[in-house]
Amino acid sequence: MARQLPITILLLIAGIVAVWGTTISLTSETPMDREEVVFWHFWSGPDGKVVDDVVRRFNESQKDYYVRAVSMPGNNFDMKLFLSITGGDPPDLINQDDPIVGDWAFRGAIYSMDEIAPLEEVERMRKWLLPSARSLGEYDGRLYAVCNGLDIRALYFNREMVEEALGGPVPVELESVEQLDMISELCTQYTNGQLRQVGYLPDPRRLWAWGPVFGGDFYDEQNGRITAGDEAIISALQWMQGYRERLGAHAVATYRQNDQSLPNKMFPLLAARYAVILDGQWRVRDIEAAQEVSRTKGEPVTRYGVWPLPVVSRQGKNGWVNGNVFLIPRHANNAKGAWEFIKFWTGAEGHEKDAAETCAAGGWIPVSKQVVESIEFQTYLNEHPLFARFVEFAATEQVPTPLVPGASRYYREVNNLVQRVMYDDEVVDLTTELKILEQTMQEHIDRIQGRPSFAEEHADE
Amino acid sequence: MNKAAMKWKWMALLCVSGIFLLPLLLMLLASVKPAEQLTSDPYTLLPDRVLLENYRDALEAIPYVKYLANSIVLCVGSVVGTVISCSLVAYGFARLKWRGRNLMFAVMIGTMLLPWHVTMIPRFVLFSELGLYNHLAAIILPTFLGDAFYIFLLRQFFLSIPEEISEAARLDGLSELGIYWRIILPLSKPALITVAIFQLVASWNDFSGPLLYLSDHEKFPLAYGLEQFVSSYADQTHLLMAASVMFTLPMIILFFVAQKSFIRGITMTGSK
Repeated sequence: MARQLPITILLLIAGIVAVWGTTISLTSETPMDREEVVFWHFWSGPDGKVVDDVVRRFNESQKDYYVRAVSMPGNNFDMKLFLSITGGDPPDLINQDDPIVGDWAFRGAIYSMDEIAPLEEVERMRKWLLPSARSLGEYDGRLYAVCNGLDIRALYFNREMVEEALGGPVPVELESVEQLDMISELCTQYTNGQLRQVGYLPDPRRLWAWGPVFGGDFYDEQNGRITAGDEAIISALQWMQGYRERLGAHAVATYRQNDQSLPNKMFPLLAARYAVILDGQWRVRDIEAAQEVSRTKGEPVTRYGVWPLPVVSRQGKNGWVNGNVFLIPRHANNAKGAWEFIKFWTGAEGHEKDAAETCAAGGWIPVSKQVVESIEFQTYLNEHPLFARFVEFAATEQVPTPLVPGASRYYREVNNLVQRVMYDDEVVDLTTELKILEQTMQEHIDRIQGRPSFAEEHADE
Repeated sequence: MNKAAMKWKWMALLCVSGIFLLPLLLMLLASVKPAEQLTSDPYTLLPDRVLLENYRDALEAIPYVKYLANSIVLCVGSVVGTVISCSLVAYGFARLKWRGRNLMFAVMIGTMLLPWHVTMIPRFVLFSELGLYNHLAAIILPTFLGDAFYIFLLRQFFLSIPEEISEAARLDGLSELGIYWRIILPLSKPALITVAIFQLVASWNDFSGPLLYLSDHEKFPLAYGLEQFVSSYADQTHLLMAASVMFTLPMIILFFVAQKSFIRGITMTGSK
């Protein structure tokens, strides 16, 4: 009997916990007189609290709809959604990263906003969104997704390092990529022949930013053609390759690898590994936190600044944009309620003040000029001058990864090629490789779309 | 074995145990470290100061009790389903003589070769057609349909029980179901406990089932709920570690409580 006691106690505890757990409800009951809107997102932790607050404010403001937010684990989110559609119980609204918009719109997995909302409201929304935000949701001339937060990349710099290297004041903006190269060279330092500090090193994933800055386009929307072999994109890649040639493929690869081993995804700029680095607005939080720690400890506070990407060509764009978007899955039970929530979150149709509060709480870039100009958000920007620069850049010409079916693969293939160019010892013929990639991706997209491939079209020639 | 050899053997065993315990120890220590220490000085073993608040914060970040309750429901349901169904099928394969038995047994063993992913979508469609999508029953119910590995394990054990016992029972007028229930099952306790423990651990750690069938966080078990930390708390390692300790703890307690059965199970199957 004594031998059975621990197991009995364990079973008893398990039983109590099971009964206790079943009495706990994580969500409040949807009021009888309101329609429920199920919203799946992937935020939790501090961001999750911001989302909960938006949902609370929306529910308090509403008489018709009641949003029930569900924080889903981020991994396998896509699979989960498609299974829920197959299972006949999809959510009414989801939040997702932008590269899937073209693919899902083409597959008919999501509604176009004009299918679920009044046409005039959708048109107003299109005009109201910043061009960069609008571009993240448009496929085939229709608005399939509404951006709820923009991600903008710019060049962060360590003011102390750059000042010391230049022996004088830091420019407000870079005039050219040559100036960036010069600063990079001055700030790069070695110890015993090993790279100790790098001025600037292009990230292989950022040909998507530098290509358009050099005047290139990854996709010809009018003709529906992939244009990875664009002259300007080749030039951008050649420029990136220049860093590998100066520093050495092995050194570049090792240095980047060591960035990955920084604890807790630490921003390498804060670890003084770079003088200049291309990254997004969310790093402002990291910088401000690091500066606060220095102040608390009574240590000297390192100053940082932000440059926009320099102008390279007259046709050049200002950079690359991506972000989170709202999507309404097909067969959603309450698409109209989802649309109301989208308007509330983004600030459309008179909700600017609410959106400003959301963006300020989350440190997110608003998707409309009207929200940026609201008094509430201007107060936030005054307190965060570094972040304010990103908001400024968001209003310039920032281009997304093309919204086409198969965009995720296109994104991946380009990055893989640039990685080879930057890290491998082999010398890559950029023009040939980009042309091959262009053809491969065109065939891939044609296959998806069921159109004849380029080769089939030209079979008679 | 002389004393010196014994000493070396113990030393070697301690070293190996230390290697296996190290990840658990690191997890435990990281779970009480301040967040800033994990960021600025992650390679120091001992915490600068012990922060038990990490556990409180982790508990606040996810509905731990709710997820734990769901895990318990899943574990209990799955264990009951597995033990009942597998022992019945194993009895049929081990103690009853019928035409095609060996062929059917081979076919059943063949299902072990099918990766879970192959049957994933058909199973999903089946259960969603049955209206079980987003119900814990979608994960529990299949365990009532048997599992090839456990059936094999139990069949082998049932074969080792002398046939004469069953014969005697039959002569005394006991039905096959009666023999199964009154004779075979009581004699097979070690094997049944082994199967129960294996299934318990599998259900506790199951990630794929909830990923496939559950979309309401009211129904998430711990193994799946913790994924929220992995995707959203990547820079809050201290909370992730605290949550991981709390996830591992019930299994460790269970191991110590049912240590003998665990070890017997390992020796019975020759696997971990």
